[in-house]
Amino acid sequence: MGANVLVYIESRGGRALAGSVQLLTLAAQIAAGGRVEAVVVGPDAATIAANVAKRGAAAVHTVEGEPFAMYGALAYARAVEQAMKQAQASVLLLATSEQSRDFAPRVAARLNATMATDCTHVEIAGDALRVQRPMYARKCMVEIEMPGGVRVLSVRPNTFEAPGEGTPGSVSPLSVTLDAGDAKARTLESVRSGGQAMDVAEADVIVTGGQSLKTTENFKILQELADELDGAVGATRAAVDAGLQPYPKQVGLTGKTVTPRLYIACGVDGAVQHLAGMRGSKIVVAINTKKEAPIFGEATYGCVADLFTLVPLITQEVKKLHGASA
Amino acid sequence: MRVLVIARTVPDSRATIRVNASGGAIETTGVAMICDPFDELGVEQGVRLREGRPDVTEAVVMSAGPGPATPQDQALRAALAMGIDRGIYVHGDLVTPPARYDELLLARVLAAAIKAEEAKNGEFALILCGKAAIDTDAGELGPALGELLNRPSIGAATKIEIGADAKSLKATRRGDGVSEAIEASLPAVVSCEKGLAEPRFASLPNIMKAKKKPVEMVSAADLPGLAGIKATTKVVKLSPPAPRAPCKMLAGEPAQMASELVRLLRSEAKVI
Amino acid sequence: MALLLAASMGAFGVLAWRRWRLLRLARPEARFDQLGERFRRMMRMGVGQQRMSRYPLAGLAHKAIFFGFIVLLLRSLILFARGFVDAPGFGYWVFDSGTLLGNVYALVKDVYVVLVLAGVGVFAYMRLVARTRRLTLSAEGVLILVIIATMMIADVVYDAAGLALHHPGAGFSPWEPLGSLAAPAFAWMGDGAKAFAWHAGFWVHVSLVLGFLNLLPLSKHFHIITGLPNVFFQDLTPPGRLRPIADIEGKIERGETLGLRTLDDLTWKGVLDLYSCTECGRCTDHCPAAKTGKILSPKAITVDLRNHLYATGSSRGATKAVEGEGGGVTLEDIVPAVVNPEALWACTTCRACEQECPLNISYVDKIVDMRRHLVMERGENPASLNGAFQSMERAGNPYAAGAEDRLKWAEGLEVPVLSDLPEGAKDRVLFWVGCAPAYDARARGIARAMVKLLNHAKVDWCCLGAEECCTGDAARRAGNEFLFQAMATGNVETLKRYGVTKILTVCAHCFNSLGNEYPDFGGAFEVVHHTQFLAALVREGRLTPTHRVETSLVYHDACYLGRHNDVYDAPREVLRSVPGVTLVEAAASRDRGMCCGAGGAQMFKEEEHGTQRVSEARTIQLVQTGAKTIASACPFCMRMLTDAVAKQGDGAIAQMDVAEVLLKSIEGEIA
Ligand SMILES: Cc1cc2nc3c(=O)[nH]c(=O)nc-3n(C[C@H](O)[C@H](O)[C@H](O)COP(=O)(O)OP(=O)(O)OC[C@H]3O[C@@H](n4cnc5c(N)ncnc54)[C@H](O)[C@@H]3O)c2cc1C
Ligand code: SF4
Ligand code: SF4
Repeated sequence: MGANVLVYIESRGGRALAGSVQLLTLAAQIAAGGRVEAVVVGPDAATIAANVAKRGAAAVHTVEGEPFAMYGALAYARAVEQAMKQAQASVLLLATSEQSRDFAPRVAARLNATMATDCTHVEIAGDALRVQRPMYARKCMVEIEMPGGVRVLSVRPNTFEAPGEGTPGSVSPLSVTLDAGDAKARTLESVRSGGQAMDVAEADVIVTGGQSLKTTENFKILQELADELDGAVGATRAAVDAGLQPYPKQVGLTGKTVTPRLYIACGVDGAVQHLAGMRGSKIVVAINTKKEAPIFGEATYGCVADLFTLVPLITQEVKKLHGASA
Repeated sequence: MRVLVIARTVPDSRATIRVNASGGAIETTGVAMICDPFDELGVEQGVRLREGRPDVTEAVVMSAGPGPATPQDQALRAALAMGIDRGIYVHGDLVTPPARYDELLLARVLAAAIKAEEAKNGEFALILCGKAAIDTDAGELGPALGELLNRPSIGAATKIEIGADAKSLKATRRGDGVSEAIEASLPAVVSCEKGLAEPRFASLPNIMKAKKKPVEMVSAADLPGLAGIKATTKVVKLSPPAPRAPCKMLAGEPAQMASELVRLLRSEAKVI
Repeated sequence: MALLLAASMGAFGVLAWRRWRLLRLARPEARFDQLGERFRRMMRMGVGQQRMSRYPLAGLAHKAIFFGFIVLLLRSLILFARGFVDAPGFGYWVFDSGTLLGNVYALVKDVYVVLVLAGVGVFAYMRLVARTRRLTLSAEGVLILVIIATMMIADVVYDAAGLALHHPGAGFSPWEPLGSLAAPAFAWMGDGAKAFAWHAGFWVHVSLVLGFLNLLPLSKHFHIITGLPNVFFQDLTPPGRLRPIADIEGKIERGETLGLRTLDDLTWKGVLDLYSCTECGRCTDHCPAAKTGKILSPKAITVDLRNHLYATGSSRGATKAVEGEGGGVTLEDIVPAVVNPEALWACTTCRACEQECPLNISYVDKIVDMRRHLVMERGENPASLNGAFQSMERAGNPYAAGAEDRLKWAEGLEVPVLSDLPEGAKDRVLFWVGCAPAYDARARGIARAMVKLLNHAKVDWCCLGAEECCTGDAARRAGNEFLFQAMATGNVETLKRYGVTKILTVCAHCFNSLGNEYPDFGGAFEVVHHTQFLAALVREGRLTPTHRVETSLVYHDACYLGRHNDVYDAPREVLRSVPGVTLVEAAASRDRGMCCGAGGAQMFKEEEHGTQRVSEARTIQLVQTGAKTIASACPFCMRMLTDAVAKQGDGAIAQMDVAEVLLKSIEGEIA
């Protein structure tokens, strides 16, 4: 297509978010002769940039300094906008995340661009980009054509493979000037959320247990998995009734209605009163010893297994995965 | 201090989504339409401010859609029944699918409508909307409005507190595995996330009263500054939801199951 | 005498007038139809004291006093007359002493004096010694007992002293056993003392009667006057039917109250109910909510409302106004001033209270009416109900499930759906599946069993498929009458469109709603419950249970089948027809069966605070019978009981629907 493409590399806990590194693959396809550049913003920008530069970015811009120490929509939007100008790019790629959802539309509006959020498929059609993205609470997919001009795409992580290492590109700091408008908001603090206190109704990942967990103590294995996934623990009414979990954790018709992206039901039978509260979940995993349990009728993935054995193994696997993407 | 809430009418999340004959939008006949559940959080927050603070003089709701012949816009009805004072309904092809699926375009039209309203009646100290509407799943509206109106925007807010002087606000927003505390000056735009304020259920008398609250009709095409504007993205087609696949049962020893499950969640479902 | 009579009758007149006015100021209600039936019921329940026997000892004691009062009424009238006519044996000529009738009456009277004293003894024992829990220990209750006893003793004193005075030395008289037996006790006195005792007996009796009369309107003993009318004016429509509110939207527009908000919203029959309560506590004694530690006590609702009524009156010109304490009264909202909302929300609408009340006082209508006000006007309902309300409104079922999944229960079965049948429902029974059997994985078994049985019996049937929508029963009982009416009207329209005439349901709630309530919305269909339908098929030989099902089985009566619709025998008949089944009865069964806890929208909300879940209390009763299986006939009961059984630990007791038991016997083991 012959355009310059900028990839926003999101920094998460001092590391590059895997989903954003993967976009260097897409960037190379779109650029087709144009330049692929990347921008990293935040305190760890330099270290991250060094890694990213090996994966196909001709130039990596780093933005550091006090205003960027913590994420803030106004400052980050300004940094990325200036990186776009610096790179003379007409396509901006970001990984879908709470952060990119928060500032990318600002960049797009400022650059008078067209935008597509959370793309799950991207195709190059001459000068245009054809993307697919979910709509209607992920029930349908829409195919959208984005003709020329400036385009901003956020792409679902794991849609592309990360590129292999090659000749490293250059890494250079970009100095970003903020204007008065950019000071209208600032981030005061950023604390890790999750843990026991996380509200199920707000969580994006929920690990739910039923009365088959038998003791409050046993719920720890669910909490560990939930923590690893930045999620919350939920419970069936039977578990709440038995005093294993407090009522605010109850998911169901007469408890909380939840719509997480991932719902892992462990030893949950799947009574209709329970289903009524979690039907809106995007992906449901059911773990149950009884293969006729109704929960499997509602699940995307099912495991006929003892939760006490399986859940810790899953936690281990997830930990491995998170370690690997570092 | 005035508050504006953006509320969008969307199909009920339980409804079966069917694609219309042209393939460019969904079938809306026979589909229950509701006020977007995320926008409802903003409505609740707006009503609470209106009820709780004497300096909040008006809470207005703005919705957009086909129009003006539509009998009653569900989002407006719901918001007015919950306690918002009056409504503004922006109508026209620009804000109707398929153009509506371009959320940046929607932001541009609504920004123009907001500017027009503010020119008449004064500035909105706070503009609230849902973090993402359940029809477009995009979530671009709030931050884009912030940009277009040159105001700070706070996405995915789970808590907001307006300062006593009505000049600033403190918010908590949900980031990726973190929760961020933010301070911003007013006027500002806030996108609301679950947990912000449990929306109330309107009582029957309030639903009836809402029918009598004033709703101003605004034609999108007539808004200043929008001449010649059109959608820049093109909807090629909307594919109907795939029939829900039966549960994929994983086989093998627990250890195999665990690694296979994690692999599927990562590369097939893309949720972790 | 004349003075005493005039004064007390005057005082009584004022009191009664006040009560009468309150009654007249209340809302109108049509209760003057079917006078014959009303009279029959009054004779049976009122005069026949039918319900009193549900508590055998208290029942006997009450019968003694009740009939004693009727007999002694004449005696009191005679005594009043004797106060004017100076003839010691005067008895309105017909009953004059010495005449045959006079003698017979004197004997009967004496027998009843003894019986009344015995009755008073029983009640005194219950109140003071046994301290029966359902009774509130009150000075008033004891005072009344003392008055009655004194009245009786004074009567005997009057007779005895009179005999001693006028016929000294006369021996035992079989016509006046008490008087003649007691007369010797006065024989030693001088004539002056005898006359004094004679007069004292007379005056004590007469003034106590008058005092008692004046106490009535002030106390729970007002039921002596209002009881029979209250029974006479009872609701004759099916007990499972709630009265619709007409023109809800119009009422809101005009600012009229929906349901029961203040005393002004009570009808005169509602007021009469309050007047009539004797505080016997039978209602609360049987209330499943009260039994499991909820704060609901039906008796307390009536008594508190009555006290509130006596204290404030009606704003349409109330007692206060009569007393000259100034005009217009602003009435407090009953909830929360008089009734705690939590009590209202604890009610399962099981009607155990109404079944028990000897005075036919109704509760469910009042409780639902109070909920109606809370829900529709104030938007105040337990938060846990919101999900079900919203889902019923938007998705047509309470489980947040999609209409397209309505037929999932029937996977692998052949189902004739009306929209595919060009001729409509002609000659076919419509199988109204219901939301629980459609969506609840366990209850699906009931619908599947039913379809197999229909096919075995070669019944022509059909169903609505995705066009079926929740009947709205739970919305109605939760006070959301507006939502219910929208659903009912929609369903009636669908049913009529297909020309449906006969409906079969497997759910006690659908059965009640469709059968008793839909006629109010233009839908008069013949509605049968599957247990009735199956009983008939077995009787007619169209279904023959052959395989033995070796189990002892206890049947749990669903409130909406039993107490609401009088269906007790059909399910038992089906179960008895199954070879191998031993049917045992729980101590609480049939019209005394305890609720499972699901009715009155409890199925869709969290239970109110208490010491135990209703479902657990009931399950324990059923398990205690020693039966191996619990049979039920309603999917709500089934869910409540299975959940409670699961909590008891695995395999405590099996749980099946009546249809499933029958199918097992017809097909052998079901896969
Ligand atoms: C009015 C009312 C409202 C209700 N509201 C709700 C509600 O809001 N939310 C809700 O959840 N429920 C609700 N219920 C309860 C619902 O009916 C069910 O009872 C409940 O959901 C069942 O919980 P459970 O799955 O933990 O228990 P069970 O039904 O006992 O199921 C236990 C499951 O765990 C499996 N299992 C056992 N051991 C293991 C193991 N080692 N590994 C893996 N699997 C194992 C079993 O096979 C079984 O499927 C409500 C019920 C009523 C009556
Ligand atoms: S209907 Fe049942 S639950 Fe309600 S008050 Fe009467 S006995 Fe109690
Ligand atoms: S309502 Fe009926 S059963 Fe209850 S205390 Fe009063 S008289 Fe007795």
